[in-house]
Amino acid sequence: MKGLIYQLKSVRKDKFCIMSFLLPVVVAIVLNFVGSIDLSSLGEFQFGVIAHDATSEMESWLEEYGSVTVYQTREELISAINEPSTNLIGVERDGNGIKAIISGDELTTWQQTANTLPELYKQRETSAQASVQVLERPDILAGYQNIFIAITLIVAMFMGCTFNAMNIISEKEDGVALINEILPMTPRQYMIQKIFVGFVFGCLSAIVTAAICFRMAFMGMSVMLALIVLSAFVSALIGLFVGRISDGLMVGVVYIKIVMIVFMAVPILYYLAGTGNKVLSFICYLIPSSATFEGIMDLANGGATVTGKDMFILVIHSVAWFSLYLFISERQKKHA
Amino acid sequence: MWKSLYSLLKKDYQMMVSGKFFLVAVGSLLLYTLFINFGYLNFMHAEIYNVYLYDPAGTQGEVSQIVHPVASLEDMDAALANDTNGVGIDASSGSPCVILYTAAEKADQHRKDYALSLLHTDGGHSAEIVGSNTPEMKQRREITCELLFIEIVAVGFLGIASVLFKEKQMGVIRVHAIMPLKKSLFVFSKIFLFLLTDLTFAALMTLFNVGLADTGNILPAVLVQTAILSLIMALVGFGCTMLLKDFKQFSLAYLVIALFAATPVFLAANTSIKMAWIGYHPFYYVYMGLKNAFFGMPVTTPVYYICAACAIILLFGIVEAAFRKEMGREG
Amino acid sequence: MIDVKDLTFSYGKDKQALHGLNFTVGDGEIFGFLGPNGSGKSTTQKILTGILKGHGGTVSLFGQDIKNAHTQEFFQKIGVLFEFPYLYANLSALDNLHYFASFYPKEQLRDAEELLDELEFKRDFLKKPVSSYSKGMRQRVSMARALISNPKLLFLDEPTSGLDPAGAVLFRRIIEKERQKGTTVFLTTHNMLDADLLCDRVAFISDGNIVALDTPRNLKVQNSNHSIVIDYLYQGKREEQTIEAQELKAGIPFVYDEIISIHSQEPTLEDIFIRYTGRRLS
Repeated sequence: MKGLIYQLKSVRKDKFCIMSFLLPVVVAIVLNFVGSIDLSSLGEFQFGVIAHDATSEMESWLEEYGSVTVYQTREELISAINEPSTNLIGVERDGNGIKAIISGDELTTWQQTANTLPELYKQRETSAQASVQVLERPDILAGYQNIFIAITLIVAMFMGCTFNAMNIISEKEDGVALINEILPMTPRQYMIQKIFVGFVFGCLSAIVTAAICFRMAFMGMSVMLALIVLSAFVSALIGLFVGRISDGLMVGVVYIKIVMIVFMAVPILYYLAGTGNKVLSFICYLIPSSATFEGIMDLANGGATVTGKDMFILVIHSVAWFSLYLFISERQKKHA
Repeated sequence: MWKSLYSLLKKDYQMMVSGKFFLVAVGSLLLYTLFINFGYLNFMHAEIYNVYLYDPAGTQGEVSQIVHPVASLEDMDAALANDTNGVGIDASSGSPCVILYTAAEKADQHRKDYALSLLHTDGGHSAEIVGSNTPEMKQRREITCELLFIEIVAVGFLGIASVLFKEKQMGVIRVHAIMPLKKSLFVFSKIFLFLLTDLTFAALMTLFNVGLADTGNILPAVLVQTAILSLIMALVGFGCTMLLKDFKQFSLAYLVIALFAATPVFLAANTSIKMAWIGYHPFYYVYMGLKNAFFGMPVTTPVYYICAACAIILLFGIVEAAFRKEMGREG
Repeated sequence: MIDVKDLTFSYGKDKQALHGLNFTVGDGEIFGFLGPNGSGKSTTQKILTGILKGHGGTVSLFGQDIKNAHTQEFFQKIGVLFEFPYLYANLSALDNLHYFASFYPKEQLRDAEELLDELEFKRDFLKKPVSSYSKGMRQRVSMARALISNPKLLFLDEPTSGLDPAGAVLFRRIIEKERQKGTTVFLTTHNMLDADLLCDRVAFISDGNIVALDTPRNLKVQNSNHSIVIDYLYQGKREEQTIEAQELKAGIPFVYDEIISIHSQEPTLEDIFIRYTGRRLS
């Protein structure tokens, strides 16, 4: 037990570990703030008109669909249309109607929108009379926000990987690893001591992040806590492996970054690609964060239908990684 | 001097080879090329909204071919539930009633009017095209530019730092302090080698992903912008290595620079989100310079190049001073 | 070769490292600079080699004030062996030497392989990377690096550190050979044996002050109590007596059957150092 205190002390002042702990918390605070910003303008069309060409009626009509910018000359308008970072649709008067101008490199949505714009203008009075039934759906942007929150939580939970890996690598660099080999300590004791630090900090970081991002019922909180504990444990174990295979600090940092990218990218790609393919599901579940991500998204959307399955997958990961590391350590000690 | 420079270049090259820098660069090039040609271009399709029409009595005469007829309201509900961007029209009563899932106010207005317009099509108009790129070419140029920017800012910057940290660890920097060698040459040789690597990377990246025909037109401007970015990032990387104690601290600085410096630039340059302070962000101008070069609209204002040159010279001076200080501190 | 007058240096407002050092080193002399950690040895060496600037007092090397002397010509004339063997771990011994040698004029250089042979470096490792070398091998390559440019002034910091006794003897022989060539050697060390065997003169530095400066011989003589211990046999018993050296003029002043051994009680340099500074060297 005394050894654990010194382990904690050794990471306490490590700036890398402190930053790793605080980063998801900071991102969670930012996401909460971003959630209150109106990003609906991202989905609007952008139109450009020429100053003495467009009528006020044209401009008002176009403003029903998006934002309108007035340019002094046609050349300015064409230059703005060709500007690669925007999908500006130019609109010019064409007799009693309008015609659209585009760059030609836009995606199909904008091209079709531009092509159909004159027709829409012609039928503006008719379409104003039509009735509309609007159905409610969850805010698209809220959905994206949930993905960001889930990823931030995963990063928080998997801080344990960073902590443990950095701890072991530092020991190697300082030569303490050699001393560990001649101490009367079993591989099991070593593992528990090493796992503890990463596990505790991973859990803490995730709990703080979850508390900032979610307001849940008690049942939801318990399930979230179970997810956090299991994921942090798996991550702490993976950190042991990263520390073991890294022969220096620089290599270790690269491996940690690769692990974090895989932990973040695989669940997102799987979520976006859809859950149809069983083989793809199996492959993705080999990465522990996939189960975590799925569980968090389920809880964020108000359900808990698949969290049981996800927790089971995480338990299997825990047992498998733990056994594997123990097996490798004991084998190494036997053959040393 | 030339002999010294040659020795330094040879040694730095060997360090980069042993650090697998070139292997990583080739791997990145391959990965990016595969991603662009087999991933990105296939994902980047955005069709306009589907329109579903329930018109059992055939009251709507001149319906466009692209409208999807449905047999019942239940079918329409199911179609809309599956495709929440779609628009349904219930024309069973004779006059069309638009049904759609809410998105944003202005987008909904357009969706409604667009759907209704398809009920009275007159053969369609075509917008006037004033640009010279196709959608595919635009996407290729955009994504190549973004990946090149990421490669130089994130990977290249890390590359020079890892070579220098290795030399710091080996303690050989202090040996250079007592050699008959112009100290600025030590800095220059590294920067030059990384610049050469980045230029080669940029040329190959452009050639493989933009195509031979278009590369010829844009390559000189792209290389100029790449050189500016590469020099700045290499000097920043060198400076960070000299000023920071170890690689751990550098990783933190790297995270801050890569994340918080590059993210606002990407948002501002590729979306309609424009922060008021983006004009003060130095990376924004460099990125826009690179992007405009890819789109055949290179920056021609001398102010930009003068500012870039001044920034590079200033950085070189700071880095050289930091290097001398580091030699004294280490020795 | 080296002329130092009232040398002072501070690392900060309250961190005065050198308090006015005065010493000279003649051409072809091996000058020892002895002192414990934190005494100012390394600071002095850094100032002389041009790594540290901002000192007070005057320092002249090769007849030139050091403030103007750190040009390429200056660095071409000096060789420095640092305390630890700083080499490119991914390059071989030969590659390291060729690389560092490439900064010096060709006519000045020695052959790298010959030099390594002289340092008894194992031939099989010539082309293997330095990362596979032992400490002693790295020290040999480092020494070769310091010597390859045929320097006129050699700064050696703990040259025999990490070497076995045979290696230490070899290094001392090589340093002596350099002196015979006319090279001036500025040696900083904790190793009393090196200082005793090699140095023409030694300076003891403690807390930024030179507390003694003379030849090792003179320092011992000045601090000796001139006594002798004689081990002898008398009536089958082994006994020991301490007498003054002067007493020997009149013969052995006590009865004995057989003299086993005679030991001078001359102090070691370390004993003398403790006497001057009140503390041990390391």
